[in-house]
Amino acid sequence: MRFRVAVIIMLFVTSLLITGCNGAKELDDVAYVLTIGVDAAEGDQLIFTYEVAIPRALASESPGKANLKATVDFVTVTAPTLTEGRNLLNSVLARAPNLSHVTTFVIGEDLARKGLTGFLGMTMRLRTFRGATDIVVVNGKAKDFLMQNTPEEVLPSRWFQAILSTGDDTGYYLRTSLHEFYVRLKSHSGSPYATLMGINPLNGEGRSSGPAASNDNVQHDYLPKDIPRTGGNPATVVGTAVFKGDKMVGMLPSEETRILAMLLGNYPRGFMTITDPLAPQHSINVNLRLGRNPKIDVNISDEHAIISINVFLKGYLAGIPSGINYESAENNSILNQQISEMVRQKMLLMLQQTQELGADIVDFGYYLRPKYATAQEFENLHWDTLYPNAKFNVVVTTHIQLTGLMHKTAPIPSEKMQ
Amino acid sequence: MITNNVITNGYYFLKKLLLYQPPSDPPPFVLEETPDNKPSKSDQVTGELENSFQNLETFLRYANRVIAFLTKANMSLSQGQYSDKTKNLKIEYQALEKQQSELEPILLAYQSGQGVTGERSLSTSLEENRQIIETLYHLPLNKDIVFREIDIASDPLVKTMAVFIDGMVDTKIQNYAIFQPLMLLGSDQRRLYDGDLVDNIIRKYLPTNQVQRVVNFAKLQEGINNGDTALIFDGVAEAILVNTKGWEHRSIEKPSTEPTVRGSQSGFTENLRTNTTLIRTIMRNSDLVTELFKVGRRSQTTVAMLYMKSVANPKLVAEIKRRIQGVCTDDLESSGTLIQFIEDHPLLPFPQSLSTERPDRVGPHLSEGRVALIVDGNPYIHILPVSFFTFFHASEDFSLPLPIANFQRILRFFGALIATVLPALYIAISYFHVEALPTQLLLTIAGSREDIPFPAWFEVLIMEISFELIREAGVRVPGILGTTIGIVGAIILGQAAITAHIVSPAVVVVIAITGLASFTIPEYLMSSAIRVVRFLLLLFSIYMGLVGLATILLWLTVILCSMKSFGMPYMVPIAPRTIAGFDVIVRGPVYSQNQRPDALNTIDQKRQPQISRLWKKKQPAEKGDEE
Repeated sequence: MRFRVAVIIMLFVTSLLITGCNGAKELDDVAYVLTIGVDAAEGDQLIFTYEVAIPRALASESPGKANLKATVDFVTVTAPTLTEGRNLLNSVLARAPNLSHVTTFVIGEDLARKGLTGFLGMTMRLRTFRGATDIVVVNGKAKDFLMQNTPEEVLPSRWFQAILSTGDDTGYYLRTSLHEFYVRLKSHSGSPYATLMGINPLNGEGRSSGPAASNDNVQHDYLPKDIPRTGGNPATVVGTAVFKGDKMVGMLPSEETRILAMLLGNYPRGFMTITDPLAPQHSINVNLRLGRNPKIDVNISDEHAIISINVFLKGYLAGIPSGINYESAENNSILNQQISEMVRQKMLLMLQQTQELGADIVDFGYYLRPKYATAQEFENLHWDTLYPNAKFNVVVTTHIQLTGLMHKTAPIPSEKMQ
Repeated sequence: MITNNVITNGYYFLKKLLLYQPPSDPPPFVLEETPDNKPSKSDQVTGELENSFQNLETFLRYANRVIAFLTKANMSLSQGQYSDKTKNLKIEYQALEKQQSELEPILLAYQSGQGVTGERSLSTSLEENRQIIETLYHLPLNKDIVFREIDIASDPLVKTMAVFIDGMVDTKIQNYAIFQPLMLLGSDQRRLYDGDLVDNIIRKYLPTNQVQRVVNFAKLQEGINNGDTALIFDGVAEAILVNTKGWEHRSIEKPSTEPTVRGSQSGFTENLRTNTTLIRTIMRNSDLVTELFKVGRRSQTTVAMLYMKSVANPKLVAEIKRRIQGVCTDDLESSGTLIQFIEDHPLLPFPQSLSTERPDRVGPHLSEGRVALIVDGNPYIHILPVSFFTFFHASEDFSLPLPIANFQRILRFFGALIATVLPALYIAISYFHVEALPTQLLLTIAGSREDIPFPAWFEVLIMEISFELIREAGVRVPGILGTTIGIVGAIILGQAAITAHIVSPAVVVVIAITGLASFTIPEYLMSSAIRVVRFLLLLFSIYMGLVGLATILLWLTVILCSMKSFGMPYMVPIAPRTIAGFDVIVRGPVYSQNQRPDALNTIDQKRQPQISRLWKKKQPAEKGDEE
């Protein structure tokens, strides 16, 4: 009996010793990297900008003090791979670098245009990083963006999390995770896209980019650097970086990103400014949301793809500066038609642009896939060559259901105007 | 012939060491499943046989009485004198005649068909009445019932028997208002048998405030259970209940370790008799049996075992009795010591019996079919067997409205979870799994640790040990000072430790929450057990992180599931899976508690009918129903 007990104890102890649980580190023996910026360097080299947290700054006695101190430190190293960059970082920092708290990868435009394959593979394979890590492309250099980003938040990583999660308030930018990006990259149908960020010059100048619909004279389609603004944090998030394969080929400005969100069924709500159909010198504000997921059907006939899109928008009135009574049934239908037509044209313009870039960022191929029995058959179709020549049938229906808190708009009496 | 060589010898040696050998101890006690309640045919036959056996015994006793009378009559008549004695013979003869009429076969068959129930009427025979009371109160098992036989001074002497429950009666009233007038102040001149004996005694010789005449055992039992003294007279099929109620109640104080918001406020005392009485005032039932034992060769401590005879599993009762009688020691310090002598796993930290100082907690458990153990001189009464989940039930759970009680119960289980794992989880995550913490929280904790010269596990250990010191000191320091020490110790020490950069604020928060949570567990012994487990978890987390935590939790699960509390599985009704009444984690409404706990395998599983709120099925009170 005693022998058996001894054997059991020995086996238990042995099993504890061979677990390999010896990676314990004190919390304050570790340097936490919050964000990694990646830029292209000469040859195959990459420039990594590590944003390393300074925990002491966060643990100050009085809560207000933390803001005054710098909470992060920047280390930039040039290395061929992510892991080599980490090795070099280890030589710079006294503490062991820990990348598990990296929440955002910031990719410089030059690297994005050069191709992300080598870099992405490693992020997906390493256990340190999670698929939910955000990936953003910066209109310019990632290093500059990180250095110039001076948010109100205590931690820059918190700024990234907060601003990316509020994208669904406007639909002006879409959050993209590493996993989604990678899946799109390896798929045979859709192309990847990523959130676009950039540094605004803050000079108050800037103009709308992107084509406008024929019945739209409101110019408000912006890329990060184009927003006319002054003051605040120069870092700006708006628009979408379009990829073909692992290379970035173009950028969609804000309104077009919103159209993309509608087509992805990912447009929760947002204010939209449209030209007043009865008084074109004015504009009307409405808040729109998707009434249902877009109905998309893709057919192949004569080696040509025909893509039918049916979008249903619902919403409420937010402002009628012209004072025309759009609450009435007949005016309402005019307004509905105006919105539908504007969205339809904008959608066609956006899709045309992606066709020119050769990147199916809506992933229309996904809707075609069920029509083939095997993956092989679908792959033989070569969707990427079909897409640029595809024809679109777009139907947009709008229903302005609610009038907000005002029941009826009456114009300002004419005698007062005089 | 093959002889053993070195190799075969080695082989046999190893085989002997490693092969399973059945344990030398006798098999452990396991509470068996009760068979279905339907009585089998053989049971019925035995029942009938028993009845006729009892009938025959009754006849035999009657016959003995007749023989005694005849001898007496013979003696008296042979003297050939007409005297008072002859007159007495007449009275005795009348009593015998009366008893004979009771023994009419039809009547007897009818009465025996009922079994010994309270509905039976009293007999004229004193001996007969005593037999019936003994059956009703499960004598000689039950030691609470006292029979006092007296002779009332009169001509002839009136043979009388006083019956009462020890501890529930006021002895002074009894001595001075019953026994003294009947025995000492009487005289031979009295002719009590002339006319109505009972009426004579009540009117002339019983100077007590309340008396009651009863003719059947139901009333008699009720009176005795309520602390009355029953006087039963020879030759009369009637008894007197004399009001002698008077049990200990002044010295009873509030329970100090089990405070309650809504429950009763009386706690047990050191006096065994007071304690049994306290329980009897809650369970006024003749089914409640008190068995007494003497444990301790030198101390001769009295141990009382209480159970409901018609509910508790007889095997369980027999087993506990066997274990108590099988304790051979010099002295018995307290009920806790006794439990350690008789419980199944004395080496494990988990309590296997519920200790309480609240009579209102013992009552419901007894009626569920459990057994209560009282040790003279100790106010803590142990209830057994219990399951793991009982320790998280507070006594007032059923006094509070359902949602409130359940909220508190869930809070208690959550508190137990926190008290067990929180420090270990903190260490495991901060050492091995930093990615599990939100970035800002992680950086705040890491930042607050920058000034601390010690590793995190040492911080946690320092705080855990100081918390234990404060707790232990609070218990040892008497009275009000104890709480003061707790507050001063906790607040000042924690604050000073942070300011001196000995521990980080995060650790103080973790330990404080853990400490608070451990006090939500109502049972002191269980919270102590959890405290021990917490240290074990902490040690393994320091070494192996979440793997260590999981390892110990797994071992705990194995241990808990293999445990038995006096033959009943400890984790019942989860392992083994049994019919769980709606009172395990959360409780159901009071009217749905229809079954007694399945694992107790009681004689009668049913606690209340399916529809316990009979008024629900009846018409509401209408006009004209008022009295």
